[in-house]
Amino acid sequence: MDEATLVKCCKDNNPAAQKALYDKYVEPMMIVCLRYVADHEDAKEVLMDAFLNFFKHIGGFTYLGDGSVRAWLKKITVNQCLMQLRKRKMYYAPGKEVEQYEHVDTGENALDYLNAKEIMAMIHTLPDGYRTVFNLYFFEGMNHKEISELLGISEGTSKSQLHRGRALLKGKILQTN
Amino acid sequence: MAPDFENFNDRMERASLKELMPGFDKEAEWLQLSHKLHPVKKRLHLPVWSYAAAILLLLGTGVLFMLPPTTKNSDSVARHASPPAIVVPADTSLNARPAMAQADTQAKEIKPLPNKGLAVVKKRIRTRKDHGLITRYTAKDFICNGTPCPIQICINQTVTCPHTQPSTISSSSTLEPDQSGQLRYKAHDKIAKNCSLTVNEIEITSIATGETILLNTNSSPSTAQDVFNYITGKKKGDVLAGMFSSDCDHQEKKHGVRLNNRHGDLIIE
Repeated sequence: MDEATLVKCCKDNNPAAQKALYDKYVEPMMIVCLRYVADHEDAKEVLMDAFLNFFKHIGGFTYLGDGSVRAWLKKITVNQCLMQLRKRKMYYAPGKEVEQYEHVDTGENALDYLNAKEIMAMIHTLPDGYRTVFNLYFFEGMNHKEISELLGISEGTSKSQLHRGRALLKGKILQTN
Repeated sequence: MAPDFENFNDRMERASLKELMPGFDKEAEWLQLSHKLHPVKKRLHLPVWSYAAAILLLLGTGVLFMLPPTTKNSDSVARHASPPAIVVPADTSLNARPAMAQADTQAKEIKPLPNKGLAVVKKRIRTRKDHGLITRYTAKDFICNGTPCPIQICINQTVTCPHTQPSTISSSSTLEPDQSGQLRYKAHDKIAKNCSLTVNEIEITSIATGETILLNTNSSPSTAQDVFNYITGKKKGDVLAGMFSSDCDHQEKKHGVRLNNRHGDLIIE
């Protein structure tokens, strides 16, 4: 059954179609959740809420071809992650430890050797604010204007959080190598 | 996008969840999600009559606790109904001229006596069939009918409980001549703690003639409560309840009806 038909059946609240879409997207969406929410249990809770919202509002979704379901579901999941972080009162703290890595050049090679698990572990070491902006910038492909609007912060804050997050990650990668 | 982290996204996209979170059970998560998407309504929808039946059952159980056990072979009756609307005291004077009662009279009539303005109650004899209601007996005191005539004694009592309508209980006992029989009434210790029990009327009827001595709160020389105190043994001695104008053979022969517990047993003389 193609994705368009699955969406149509999901609009009729068909459990089999819901299960098919869930099976297709549960793993990538869980990875999205884990990037934002370090705690596994919290991440599972976010994933559950994301799929619930997805199926609840699928009636208003217009299928626009391949990738549209994934993009829409990912958007819902990211929003759900941000809501979870807001619940925990995400703090955009200026980290002093960043200063020492401000001008470190890790080089292309050091980053190339990192696998997904190591990348995830590195991301999880970042404070909430850095991690969120880093995720939105590098993984969701947003610019600082979009990030600032989404998070309700200034563009300057977004830029500084990203800059410090990058610097911190570079320093950690350097240390591991 | 900064060149140093730009390929992070590609690597994460290709990543396997098993690698990042080995313990993730997507089927278990689906079960939870499925229950939330399609909740099962566990609440039982009972029909309305079942609620009504449950309420009736509870009420019935409550009433049973308030009532004493019943006796099958009793000849008395009890009823939950308003007491007879007899307000005139019975002819209890020894000097008064008694009147004959008419056994086939349905309605109660009150006629002033020629002398001293005393009233005589003419009424049909109340039998168990007349009450015709549920038989619920209470205390069982033995009384000896020391007269040569069969006598029926009916004791009408009112039970008053908080927040409920007062209910009347009538207990009648038939006493054969020169024999002991059970005299039944509602005892104070057989009612709920918060309830009160009062004696409204006592009717002493000569079954053969249909004459009735009606005792109530205004009767003289004894009130219903006076006589009841002797029945229950609260008072010791004897009390004159009233007068019958004739004997069982319908001969005009006045005689007083007295309750005596002086020697322990209750005797009607």
